[in-house]
Amino acid sequence: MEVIWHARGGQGAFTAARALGAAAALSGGLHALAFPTFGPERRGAPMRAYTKIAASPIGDRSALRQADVVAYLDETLFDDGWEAELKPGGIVLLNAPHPAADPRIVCVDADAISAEVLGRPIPNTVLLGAIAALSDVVTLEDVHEGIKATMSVRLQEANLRIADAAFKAVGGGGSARASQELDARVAAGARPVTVHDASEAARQNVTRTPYLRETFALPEDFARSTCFTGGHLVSENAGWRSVRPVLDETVCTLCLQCYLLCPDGTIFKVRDEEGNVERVAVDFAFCKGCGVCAKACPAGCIRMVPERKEARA
Amino acid sequence: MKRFLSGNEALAEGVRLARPQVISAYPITPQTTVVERLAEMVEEGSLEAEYLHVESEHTALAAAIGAAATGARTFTATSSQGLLYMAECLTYASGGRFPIVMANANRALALPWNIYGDQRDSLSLLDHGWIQVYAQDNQEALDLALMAYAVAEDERVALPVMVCVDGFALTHTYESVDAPEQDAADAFLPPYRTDNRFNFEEPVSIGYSAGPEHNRFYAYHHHQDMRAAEAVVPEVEARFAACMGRRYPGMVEKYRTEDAEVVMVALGSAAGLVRTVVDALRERGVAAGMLRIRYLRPFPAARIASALAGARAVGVLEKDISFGATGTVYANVMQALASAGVAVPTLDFVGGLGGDDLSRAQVEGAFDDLLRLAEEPVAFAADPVVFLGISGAEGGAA
Ligand code: SF4
Ligand code: SF4
Repeated sequence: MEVIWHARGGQGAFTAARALGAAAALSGGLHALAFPTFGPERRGAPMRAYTKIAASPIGDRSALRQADVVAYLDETLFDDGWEAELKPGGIVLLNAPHPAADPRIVCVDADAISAEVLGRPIPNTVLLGAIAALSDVVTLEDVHEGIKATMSVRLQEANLRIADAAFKAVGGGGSARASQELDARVAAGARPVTVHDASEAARQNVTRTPYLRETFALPEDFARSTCFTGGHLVSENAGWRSVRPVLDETVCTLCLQCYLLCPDGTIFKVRDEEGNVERVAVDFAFCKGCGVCAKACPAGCIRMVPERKEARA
Repeated sequence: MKRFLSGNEALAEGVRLARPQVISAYPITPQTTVVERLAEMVEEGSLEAEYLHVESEHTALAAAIGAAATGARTFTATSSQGLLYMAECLTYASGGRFPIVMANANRALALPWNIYGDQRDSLSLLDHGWIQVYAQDNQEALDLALMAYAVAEDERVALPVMVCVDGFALTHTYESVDAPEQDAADAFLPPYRTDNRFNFEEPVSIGYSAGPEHNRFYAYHHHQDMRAAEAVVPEVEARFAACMGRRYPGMVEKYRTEDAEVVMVALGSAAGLVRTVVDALRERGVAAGMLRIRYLRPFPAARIASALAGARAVGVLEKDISFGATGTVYANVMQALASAGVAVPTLDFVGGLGGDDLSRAQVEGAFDDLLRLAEEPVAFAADPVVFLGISGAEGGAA
């Protein structure tokens, strides 16, 4: 069995990937690899992790392009690409409060289940429990062992309970396969999952930096140099952003502190016809949501607004 | 005991079992968790060692040299720019004949800045007089930490060993590992004893200089003793097998090379993928094989040449390029073939740079190239270097 984990840094996807690997390797008598691909190394940035489980030793350490289970710990990361990553017969496990129309998508309200035990949403173990319910490869007992092998003693008890709750919620332990129950729910008129394209959403109302990035850099352009007019950016990094700066132009004094201090040079001046600066704006294709501008603004006119809430609204 | 560990954790476990007396370290990704684990072990008391948290890699190795010069068993670890920064000290350690063991988490070199795995760091320092060995998985990383001391401290060798583990592919990948018991480790590796040390009763100079009349002798013996390691390694591995029940194949590992028509030479964790592809090709009736180089210094030229002598085409797969030449592993393999008079067409597959995923499709494409090369060597005559992911759609030279 192969699992791709989609999450944002800090949501515990790699811990889940490891716990699943440990479940298979230490308790299930199988071979397993668990590894992350680290994108930008910061909390909130999209990342992936992988778990490979097999009956014989696994030599291939390359990233998975398709998997039997594709787990999304964060609903905002779920987009049109989901089908391409699914092996025939595979399933998507989505942390979402509402059921999905497509029978291949199993929704678990992992935020709610984990919040009930922990007091705050940490979805990783919920999806582990769900995998135990949905697959024949690891049992709930294996997952317990995996949790014990990878989480600190302090966290184990709560996470074991979360795994149990998730196992139940997805219909594990019953005679009917969870997917059948899911089919029933779909037939009963479940709402389809909303598919967000975070980057598209981010681009709405965006004025592009006029003098920098009309087109995006290609390897031929940057591979011979590491000096760029716009900081160190050679590709869009809006995907890192979990909060975005929203600027209140009625309060802005045009002091340009944000313009000077943005570490990636993604704030730019917008000029009127005479060439005078009439306002500042953010290039949301590159803004990484660090919040430096909001901290720096002496007039307090920049607010950092969660991307997720906005995407859901 | 069976455990589910990352390569770094496995390596730290191996180091703990070797009972180093001094650890000096400076953190750098992807090595950091090795020295973090060791710091925790020292703090919790499961490892009795002097832990020096120094201010740079240069000092990390300098301090290790100082400690080794008092006769202590010493460990340090680094990666990439950190390895380059300590490069000056590398020759002090090897020239001083201090059997330090250092883990290097293989990582790309800047610029452009990149924290991910390739092997340009250690390969660019192949000539600094250290034994270099490359692990293929986390078990081997753990076991090499122990065996490296046995090789380094053997009085016929007395040289430092760099244990290379692929950044992320090993260092941050978890898999199950058998961690030996301390009793078995102690039986395998006795405490370090040496005369090559600073003696407080009869002080000696350790920062010696050797003028023109003496210099060549140092170099000659350094070379000879490095060569001697080629005989010491199998002895050490036989003892290790007796104590731990795990057998390692020596300087190189031959995998289905006996009757192979096309052979891929691999280094480090990429061997796992090559092995998988070789098995798949064999199932289709293609006589493919792999030669995994474990020790690149001392260089097992004769073993490599004899393993490749029967092939009709040979490829080298490496995460490295010596700009304007070929990959360093390829250059070394070519030298082995030439010295032994083995004439076989070859290609150098350069991939996995800066953490780029080495995919199964690329390795399969590389084998396709080798099969074609075996049939019509002229088609590839212009340049042996194939950049995977650039030269062809999926790794081919076409
Ligand atoms: S959030 Fe950070 S990257 Fe975005 S505009 Fe503000 S300072 Fe620049
Ligand atoms: S720092 Fe605040 S007041 Fe100054 S230009 Fe930026 S948004 Fe306007």
